[in-house]
Amino acid sequence: MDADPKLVRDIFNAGGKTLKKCMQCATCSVVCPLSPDENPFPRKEMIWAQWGLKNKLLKDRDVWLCYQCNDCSAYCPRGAQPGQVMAALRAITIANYSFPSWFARLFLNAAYLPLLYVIPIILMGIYFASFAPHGFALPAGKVVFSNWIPHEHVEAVGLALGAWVFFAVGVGIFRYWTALSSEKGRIYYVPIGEGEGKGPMDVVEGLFYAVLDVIFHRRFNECEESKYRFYAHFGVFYGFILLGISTLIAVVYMLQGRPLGLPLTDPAKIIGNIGAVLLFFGASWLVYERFVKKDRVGFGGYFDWFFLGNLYAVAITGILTEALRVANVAAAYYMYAIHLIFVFVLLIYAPYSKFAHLAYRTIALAHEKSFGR
Amino acid sequence: MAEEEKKFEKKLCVYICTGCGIGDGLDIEALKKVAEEKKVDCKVHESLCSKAGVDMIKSDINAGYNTLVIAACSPRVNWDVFNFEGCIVERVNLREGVVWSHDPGEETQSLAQDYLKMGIVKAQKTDIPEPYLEETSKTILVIGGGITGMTAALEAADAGYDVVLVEKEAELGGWAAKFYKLTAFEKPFNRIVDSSALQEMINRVENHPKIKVYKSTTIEKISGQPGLFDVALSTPSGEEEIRIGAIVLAAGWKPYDASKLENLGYGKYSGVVTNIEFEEMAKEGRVAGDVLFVQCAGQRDPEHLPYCSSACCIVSLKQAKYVTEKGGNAYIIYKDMRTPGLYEEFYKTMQDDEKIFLTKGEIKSITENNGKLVVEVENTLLGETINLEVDTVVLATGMVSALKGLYTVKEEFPDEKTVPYKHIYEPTIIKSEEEVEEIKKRGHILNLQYRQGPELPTLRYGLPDSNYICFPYESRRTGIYAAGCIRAPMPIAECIEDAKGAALKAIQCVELVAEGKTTFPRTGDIDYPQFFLQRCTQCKRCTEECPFGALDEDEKGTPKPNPLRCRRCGVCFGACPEKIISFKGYSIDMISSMIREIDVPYDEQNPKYRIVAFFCENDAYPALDMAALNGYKWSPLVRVIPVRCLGSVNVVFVADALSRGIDGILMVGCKYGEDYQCHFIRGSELANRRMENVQETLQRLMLEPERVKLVELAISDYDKIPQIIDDFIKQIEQVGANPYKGF
Repeated sequence: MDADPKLVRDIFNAGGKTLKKCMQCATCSVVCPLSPDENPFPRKEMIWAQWGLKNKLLKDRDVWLCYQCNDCSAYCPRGAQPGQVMAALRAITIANYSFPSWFARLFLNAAYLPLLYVIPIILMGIYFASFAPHGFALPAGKVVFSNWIPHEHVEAVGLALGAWVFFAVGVGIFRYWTALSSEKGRIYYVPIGEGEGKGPMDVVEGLFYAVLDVIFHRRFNECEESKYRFYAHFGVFYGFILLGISTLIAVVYMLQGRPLGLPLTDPAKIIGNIGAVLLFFGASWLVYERFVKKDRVGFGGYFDWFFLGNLYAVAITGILTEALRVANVAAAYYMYAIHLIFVFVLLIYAPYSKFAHLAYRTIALAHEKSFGR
Repeated sequence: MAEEEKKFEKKLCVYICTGCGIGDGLDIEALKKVAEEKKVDCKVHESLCSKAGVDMIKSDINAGYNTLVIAACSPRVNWDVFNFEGCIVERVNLREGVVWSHDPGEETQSLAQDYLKMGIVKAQKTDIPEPYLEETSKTILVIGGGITGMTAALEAADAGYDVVLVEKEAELGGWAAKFYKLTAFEKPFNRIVDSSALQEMINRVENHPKIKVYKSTTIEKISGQPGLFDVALSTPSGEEEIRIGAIVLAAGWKPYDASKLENLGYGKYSGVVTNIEFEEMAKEGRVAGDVLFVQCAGQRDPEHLPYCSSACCIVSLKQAKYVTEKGGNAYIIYKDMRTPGLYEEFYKTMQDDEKIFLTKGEIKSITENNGKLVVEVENTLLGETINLEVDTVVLATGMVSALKGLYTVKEEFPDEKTVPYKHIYEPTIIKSEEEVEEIKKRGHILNLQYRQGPELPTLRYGLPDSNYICFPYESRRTGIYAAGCIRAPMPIAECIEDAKGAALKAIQCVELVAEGKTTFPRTGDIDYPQFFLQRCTQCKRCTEECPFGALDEDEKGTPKPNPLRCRRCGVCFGACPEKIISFKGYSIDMISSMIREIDVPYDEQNPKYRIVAFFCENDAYPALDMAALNGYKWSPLVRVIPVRCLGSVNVVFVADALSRGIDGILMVGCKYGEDYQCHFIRGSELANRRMENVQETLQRLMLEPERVKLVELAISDYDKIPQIIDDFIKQIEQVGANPYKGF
């Protein structure tokens, strides 16, 4: 048994700074609306975290059964905020399995934040100096973004980013799956969702039901203390998907040779704007609640805020960019550049930031449905 | 004074109050007639406790009345209103005892009339008591110079009392002085403090003008009574005798013998040490590497100490900090983390250290491997059995009262023939006198020259019996108050609290005994028992049964009373077969006369039953008032006589009542035994033991044994009173009327 105070320190930094306050009363496991009756969480995770038990923590898929309803934190008699600790453990999990691991560790420490933003800014500088048709200079006349940065360039970078993200996330979740599979013996089998009472599923079926869980937010919906998170996350999640669809339609238009800078009445624009509104309100709600409830259930750690803040920045700069473009103000170009940087950051760091939870959670749920806990 | 007392000529007046429903429920004219038949003046008032009522009584007092029978509410209320200096005041409980608890009717009226007659005769038999006054000392002796003793000394001295502090070791400070660092004495409790706080306390004690410190000194013996203790000290410069008022016993604790913990590797591996030894290691700077703490080592375990020492969790948390400060990891394996009171803050703070690892668990094995100790822990909160490799294992052993193992009082060391009292947890059966001498060689602390034994009586685990229900520092030896870890294991802050409490009790004691008054629970009572020794048969029952060891004996076995040790419970007078013990305001003759006042109707066809109920005035009688207040009703056939303790009920009362035709005797008192509630510890148990004699009396009178019953009642069980009374009446109805009726 290797108790590791360094890992405890890491969990502190990842947002679980209250974890040592736990006295193992198990109020958290009792009040949790999502915790199963057998081998419940987060009581056991709290003491594993206090002892810094790497082996246990990094193979614990139960952290993904937690949707941070925060009932545990609200009822915790010691202010140990298990909800925050579980979030920190998810961060540690992502950082541990992501590829390359050394890079992933940068996301656990706020000191590296400037570096993470400096990279895309430099890249953009290089782009304007070397590849942009007009260099840094703004084109004259009506605001048309493609006159400054051709859409082909944006899409090319986007595709490259996408490929990288899929590769890096793929390596990460492969490592995670392998690690989870190394530990079967003493696990209780508690299927969730549609599979309830059905016994083990095969992997494809497990994955299918895991995706259903994710897209319908079924477990989220069982939250009590932070019911809002269901709606807010729903907004962010579908807002993001609608924006993705809108982008794909735009790519189709581009391939058809139609000029972009679409009017607000275009279907792609309508879908995109609905998505933007959902994303904005969802993200705003998440930000607002963190401030209002910080004493009751916690404020969230750096890892959490890096993702949420960036996402919120994408939503705000996106909306401002569109507004300035419609108003035909030259400042729209600068806003567009800023927006692109935030989008770039959001995507390129997706394998390491909280964004990766989409993949890790789905994989963990699928694994659990197929092999038990 | 004695002559003056003889001149006290009683002029009696009965006052009947008609307020609070008394006037509606009773025939007041008939009550007045009762007084007139007794040739006693009687006045009626609609509200005696009002200003007009009290003024009326006062003007009567001025006119010469000095013995007042107030027939109104319970004696437990308005006692301050009806307190008239220089007068005998007797209260007849017509409100709670009659009209509130009984429906109006013929039987209720006769109940009220009996009560009035009983009240009048009680007043007639009451004398004005005189205090036992001596030239007493107000000096307080504190035994033990640890944190508890020093605090008690400072508290008493700061309050203006002379204090003598006796410490057997060469320096003050006790165990705390031997430790590397200490937990905080006062808030905030989340700190570890160095020894400067202790040193400050020691300096204050040593330089206090009111405190005289004797170091390297022990108590040779103590005789006398509160206010008049003669204490012989054995000092380095010879024996010294001092006069003391009251004593705070803070002799502390001894560590549990760890050699019995071989199963935890003690004595087997040099790396396994006790928490005391670990303090020494810390003091010498020998703490290094990873350390595992085993909580409750030899505690909460029937094989070892069955109790929790309450301080060890705090100590281990403190010592864990010594470890992490040196860079090591500290593991604490506990049964339950117990940090009483505000020390919870300390637990919270220590928890925050990421190098302190805590879990509940049980030690499965401790072995050595390559110079490291491997500890296998099962049933952990981590969900599995774990192996921890450490450099040192610290056993959190517990505290044992300094009294444990000493010869305390005879009743705890009974011979084979004696049935021990039920409150004695583990009596040590003694086979021979030599065995006693052998035990006495283990040493002594107080060495009281009392007939019942040399030390404070203990309740269990060698902890002195301090009835915490009422006052934690009280002991069964008046004027001696136990505080700190000799009384119960406790952490520093609690020792300080305890010391303050005990110091206050000691101050109270010296002030009270200076005026001839007794201490808790009859605080302020000056009436003390008088012994008519010419008729004593040296049966020794009073000297053996006194719960407070107040009576010594001469060679022949005649009791030698120590009035200032006495708590006025009347257990001695309940015990005395010769009826030679009495108080001025509480005597055999008085109670017997009251019983004789009860009207026993004789009707062979339709017998009217009469029951006498002795209610202990500590809990049972208040419970009766509470039952009335809550609207419960019971049979009017019962005549309640409050007694100081069931232990003061003499068999002669029972014989008197039954021979007069009373059909049954009910005795209601406190719970006795290990978790006794009796205010005089074993009064109700003694009453129960005396039932044997009662049965003899019944046999002699050829009466059925069911006529006498003893019931234990807690004050909170007031709602059970109607049931208790009804059950008893049914029992009597089955037995039938007392054949002595009408004789």
